[in-house]
Amino acid sequence: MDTLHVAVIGAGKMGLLHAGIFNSLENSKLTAISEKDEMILRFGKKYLPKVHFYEDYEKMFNAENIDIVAITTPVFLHHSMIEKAIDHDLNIFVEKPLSINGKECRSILSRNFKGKSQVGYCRRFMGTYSFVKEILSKSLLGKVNYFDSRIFVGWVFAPGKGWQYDPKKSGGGALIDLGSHAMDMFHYLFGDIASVQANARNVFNKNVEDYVSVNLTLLNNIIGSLQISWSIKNYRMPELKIDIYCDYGKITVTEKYVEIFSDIHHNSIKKGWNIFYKQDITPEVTVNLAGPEYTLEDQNLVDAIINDTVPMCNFHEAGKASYAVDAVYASINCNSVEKVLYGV
Amino acid sequence: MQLILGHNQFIGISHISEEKSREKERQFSKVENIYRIVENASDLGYKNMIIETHPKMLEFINYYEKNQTFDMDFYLQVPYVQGYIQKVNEKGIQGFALDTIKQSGFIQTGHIALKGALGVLMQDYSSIAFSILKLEISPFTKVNIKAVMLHNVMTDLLLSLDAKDAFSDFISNIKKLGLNYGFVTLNFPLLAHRFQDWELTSPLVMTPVNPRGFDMNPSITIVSEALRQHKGDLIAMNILGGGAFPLQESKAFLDSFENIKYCVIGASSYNHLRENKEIFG
Repeated sequence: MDTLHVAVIGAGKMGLLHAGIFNSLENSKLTAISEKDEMILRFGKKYLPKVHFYEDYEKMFNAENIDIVAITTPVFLHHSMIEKAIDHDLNIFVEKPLSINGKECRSILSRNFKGKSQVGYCRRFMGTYSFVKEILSKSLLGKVNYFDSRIFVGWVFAPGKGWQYDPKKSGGGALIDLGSHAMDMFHYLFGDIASVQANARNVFNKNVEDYVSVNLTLLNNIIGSLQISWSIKNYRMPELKIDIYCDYGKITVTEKYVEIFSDIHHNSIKKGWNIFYKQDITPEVTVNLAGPEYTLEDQNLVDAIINDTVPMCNFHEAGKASYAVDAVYASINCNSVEKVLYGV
Repeated sequence: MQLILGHNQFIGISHISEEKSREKERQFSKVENIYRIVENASDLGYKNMIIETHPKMLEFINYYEKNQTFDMDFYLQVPYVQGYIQKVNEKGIQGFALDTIKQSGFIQTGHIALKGALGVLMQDYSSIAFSILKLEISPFTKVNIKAVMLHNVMTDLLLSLDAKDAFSDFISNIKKLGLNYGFVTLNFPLLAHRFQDWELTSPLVMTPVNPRGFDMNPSITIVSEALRQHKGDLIAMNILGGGAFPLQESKAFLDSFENIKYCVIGASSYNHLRENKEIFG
């Protein structure tokens, strides 16, 4: 197998992270970076002499022989960049969310795209959540009836500056930024969502929401709730904590641990309390830059290209989180129960 | 084995859970509580501590310098990545560089002139980066710094990008300050391989070493083999997986490496410090 050549658009922290990972995987190599910031460009040219730098990503597409493009720009640029990448028959990695809203996701999915795609909903690749996915898939604790969840971080306590706080560029506030992770996780663990009912408060920012409360009903009749905020003190890192209530026990899952109370005994789960730390259930990775999950999602895309398989979180799968986020915004704006509208 | 007191607990970092993180943050919200634990460690024979350039650790260093009822040597981890990311997110990379230089008194001019000065400095972006790093290290040099360790996020990113000159520049800039240097990595074999390729000497390295292979990439077997061949000094970290692994199991694994002379231990109480000292010290 020839080495896959990778180009990155946007050399911020996520862009550099994926650049480093793709450059370290066995079957891929970083070839080029497109970045508009002059300081970053100068820095890159000085320290990464083997990498070709561009200010204009379309020039990069035309000049370079690329197999994969990693798009790690602000979300409002995703749609047009993905469209151009499809025009160039590239395989595509894009950071979450897939796009600014469901309409743009539908537009992307309506294209006759033959390449492989992966969207950076990295929690799907964390040991704790994938461990729970396996338990639920095998119905080890019976069926899921109810879940209660929250995704919190302590980032925003004053009016913010920049594109993240302009809903025309970000799509919204804490809901699309953090809540989209939770919505993707619900699709991964439980299934498609039938309807949502939500409230939100803009406290620190006039134009984007800081706090959101959502009730969800799934197509398979599971009901649940989600609290979202980026303005919770003393949350250094984002935490998605889900309490899952099943026929024969309860599961609590976070990025760092899985706690299970089981009424019944299985091989790996004993009757009563069980605790599994990420330290014991995280797979080995070739290189770890900011967490194994980032390496695993990139590796999963490379493997899918080589073996012609479907990546874990392709455009179709990741679009579901955007449709659910759209429904939550509609519910907030109309003070109503809103159906989640899937599909192209 | 020489024990190095870790600092994660003092700044509210736990590998176990966010609840634990917040519990530690509450416990060590007052600098006096950090000082008391470090003093206990000194009483028990701990001679070294690793800190990072986190505001909480600067507060501790200032308090330590003022009160100094015991002696401790320090390893200083740079840069304060989380703080930088937050500032860059808020202000953009140029705004961050501008603010940092302005706050430092590095250039005593008005805003417009400062922007002009920054434009000139941008011709040599790396000199700005290292000026910022120097400013970050400076308040900590009032205590005895055994080595300045490059944070694993930076080390591993630069290793993965094959950025040889960034390492050479880091080494020469730290040497210019009259300090020793070292690297923290979660990818030890990659570091060993790159440094050999680049013909850089075997440096001081701090890296995870534990019986479950947590954060030992690409595998416990490959990392163990590379560690045994390393000629430079080694500091073992994550030896207990943040509390997830039994002490005796970790101790037995660590003892299988003859060339590891230092290990980092996190502790939040006298009894915890004493127990670790009895087993690992």
